[in-house]
Amino acid sequence: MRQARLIIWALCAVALAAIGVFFITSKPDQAPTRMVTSASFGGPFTLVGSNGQPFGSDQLKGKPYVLFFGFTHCPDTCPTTLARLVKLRRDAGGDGAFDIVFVTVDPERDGPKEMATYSKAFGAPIIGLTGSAAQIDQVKKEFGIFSQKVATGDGDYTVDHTATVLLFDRDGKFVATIAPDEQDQPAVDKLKRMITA
Amino acid sequence: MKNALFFAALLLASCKPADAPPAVSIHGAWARATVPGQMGSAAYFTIRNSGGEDKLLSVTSPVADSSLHSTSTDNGIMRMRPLDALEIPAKGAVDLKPGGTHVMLMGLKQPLQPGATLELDLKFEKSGERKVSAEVRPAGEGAGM
Repeated sequence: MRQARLIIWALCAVALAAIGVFFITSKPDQAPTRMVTSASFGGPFTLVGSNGQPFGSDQLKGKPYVLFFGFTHCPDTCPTTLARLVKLRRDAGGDGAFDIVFVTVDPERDGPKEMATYSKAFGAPIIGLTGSAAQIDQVKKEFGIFSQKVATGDGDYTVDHTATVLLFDRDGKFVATIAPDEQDQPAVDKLKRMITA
Repeated sequence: MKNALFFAALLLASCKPADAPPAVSIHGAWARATVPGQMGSAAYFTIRNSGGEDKLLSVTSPVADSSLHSTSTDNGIMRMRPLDALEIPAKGAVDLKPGGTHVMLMGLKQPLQPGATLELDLKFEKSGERKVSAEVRPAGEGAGM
């Protein structure tokens, strides 16, 4: 009887050890699909500004900025996020503390004119950028942005897309992200760190 | 004994609160303003229910194609999907809010001006139709997620 109990305990110990080893070794597999390092992330880009002129990423240098991808026909997430960024920017240092850059993932419908009117709708400066389908695709790739059209049934469509906000310091170095469901306080703290970086 | 249990179960099943009539009221309805050329926006409100369960079947508006949608975020990717109906629990409340369940307004016939009102017709399974006036608020407001 005593022997049997010992054997069971031994088996349990082996099982526990096996589970432990499994978790330790399997951790790397559970890491995000793409490891983000500031050196490899992003990259120089050329898009089209709201005035119809080319807009290069070097024009953003010298001031921290946040990058958000969306589209102007977006009924909920994009206006909510942009309104939130305007508010968070005021909490973190004021309208001039950093640039809010809004890049369309729907260049088909969002030309420079659409981006210009839309960017002015939030009562604070926002830089609206569009470009050719190829330019937008390249920028999406550089910044790891996913987007996919979804038909709404009436010939219209919306776009599923990455709604994470990307933060860059005044030298254009990637510093952090703000997730759509993140609380305001940690988000403001990140923005403040970005401003002083 | 088995029979007694069966009848007890039957009794329990028949006295669930769903049989009580719902008592729904709609609060704080608002919609986000749009700029010329912008075809889509969203409207939000809170439904309170002090009675039995109900279902919101549809929301229509004279100035846009409207439908119930949910926004979900998974791994940073925002996805918006139509909802067939919205369950209103007995003695509960449902919040439609930015970044969550909302009334999607597409194909707007004219821009929604801040300060204007947007008429919405809500159709409930049991409570029938309700009319609501949503206040149009500036796009820069409603940042809460």
